[in-house]
Amino acid sequence: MEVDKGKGEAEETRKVAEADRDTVTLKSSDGKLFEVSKEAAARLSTVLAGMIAGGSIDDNGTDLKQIGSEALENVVDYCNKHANSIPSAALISSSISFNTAPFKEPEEWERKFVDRLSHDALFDLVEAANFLGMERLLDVTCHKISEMMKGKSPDQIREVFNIKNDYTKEELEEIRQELAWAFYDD
Amino acid sequence: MQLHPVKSSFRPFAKDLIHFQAALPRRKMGRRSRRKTRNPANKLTDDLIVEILSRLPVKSLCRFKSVSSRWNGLISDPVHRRRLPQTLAGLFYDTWNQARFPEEARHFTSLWERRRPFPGPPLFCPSFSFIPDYEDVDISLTDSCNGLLLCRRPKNTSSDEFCYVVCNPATESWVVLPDSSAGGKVRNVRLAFDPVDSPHFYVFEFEFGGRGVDIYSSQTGEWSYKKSEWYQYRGISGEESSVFFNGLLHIVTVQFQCMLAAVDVVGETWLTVSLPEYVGEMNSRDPGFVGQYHGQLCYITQGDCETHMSIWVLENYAFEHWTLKHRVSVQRLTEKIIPPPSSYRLVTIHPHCNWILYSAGWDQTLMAYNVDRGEVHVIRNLGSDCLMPYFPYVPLYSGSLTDGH
Repeated sequence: MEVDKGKGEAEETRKVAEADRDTVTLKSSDGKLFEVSKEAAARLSTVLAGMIAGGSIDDNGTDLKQIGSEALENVVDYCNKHANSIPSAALISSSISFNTAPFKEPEEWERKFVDRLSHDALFDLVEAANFLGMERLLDVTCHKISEMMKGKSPDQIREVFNIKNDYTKEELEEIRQELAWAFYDD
Repeated sequence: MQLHPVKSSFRPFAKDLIHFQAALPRRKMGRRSRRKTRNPANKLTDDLIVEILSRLPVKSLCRFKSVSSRWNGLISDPVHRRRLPQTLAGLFYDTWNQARFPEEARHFTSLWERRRPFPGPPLFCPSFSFIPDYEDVDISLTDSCNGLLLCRRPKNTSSDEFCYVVCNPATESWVVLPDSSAGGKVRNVRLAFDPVDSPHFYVFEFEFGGRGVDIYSSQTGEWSYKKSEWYQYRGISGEESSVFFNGLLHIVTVQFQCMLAAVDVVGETWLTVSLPEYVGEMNSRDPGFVGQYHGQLCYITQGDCETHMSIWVLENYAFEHWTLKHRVSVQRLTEKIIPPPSSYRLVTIHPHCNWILYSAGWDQTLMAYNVDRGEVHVIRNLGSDCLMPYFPYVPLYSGSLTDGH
């Protein structure tokens, strides 16, 4: 594939020139290669969109050293599924500012997509989505994790998140006393 | 197996990681143990944890302060707070004491945090120092509603005339209202705001004698006068309990006969409802407290004449149908105070659990009653020089008041 850099003054022209391939190849930290629709990648990930626009996509596999193959496979899977599903109006207007836009409930296929993941895979995917600037995937994965957390005791949360309790017995009791209202059943 | 410790200013977390790494070589690096020691959840940055926590109900969020000191820090951090759901944080109130300077002062007391996890200025400064000239004039707090506060601010240092300022201490924004038809003379006033329904707030200024009301809408930026259509003129003396619920300002009125009166934000709908446990003409009994309980309008008895606190909810306006939800003796409510007082004053109903906050005793002890369990909790003594009413405060970080900043 040849990229005509002579026409590259305007970003738009360069994009058109590069568009003769409609997929991009991504390489995980452990060296595995994945193909993903260029259109979906650019639409769903601000980071990939920037790389595609900036011409820093490597045809032999763009290195994503921070993302393991399992997580990258899920990212690519999500992008491809997304490309095939009819995007709702809410998703297209994704000039959402972080944390201020109201969250749109996951669609049925998105729900199924995250439901099949293990805890570890889900946490890896949150991180990958964050790294790649994929707001919607970040939304969907964070939503799934928060659903898992509802109604759980602090002990159960420590288990899921693999957190060591660093409070003394007295400190813990003090917090429980102060926030007693939050420790009763809903 | 590689670990990527994230940059974190929170020592407990960094410490955890070191322990964790130190433990690694002792394990056999077989496939099973690899899987077991891989720990993606622990790699999450503060930002991502807050992103996840921001989607939780506020009750779970508060409970998870006890997960670890790192999580407590994240949830309490003033910077992250604005991304997280909020609940009743505390009360604004005034004190008056002639033996002290200044004699009169305003305070904010946090309800649940005895020890602030962060040093530095208080979360909500009761001097409202973000309002211009706050030092030169005496800004008095008159009402609070769902994160906004309504204040009176003298027009200048030498005048009795004042203007209304509505402010949001969480975002430190404020807006000055134009003069109403009262032209800056003191009238009884209430603030109405519910961000779930509308980004606009309303101020109700009641005419003396109860003939009408001036309603300010932040949507139009104007006051409009409406003649009262309540059954008999319902005068508002200023002390009555009120709540903004379902788009109506509800207020317990005492003139002629104690009644619940309600008016909507455009002054079109006017309702009066008889109160439960309240028959006959105006008498010496306290008119009681009105609030929101479990998504219903509720009326709670209070005052010197009561032997019990009764919680009633309004099932139907037209039929004046009230249901008694709970009843507890005053003795039970006040037995933890020495000497046990014979009465109590309602402060507020917790918006996220079935707790009722009240104060009692000579030292104005702030207490909470857990309706579900019948338990009484002492929160703290506010002190005998406290002035009623207290203004409950739930911080609001979204939206902004247009003028101020």
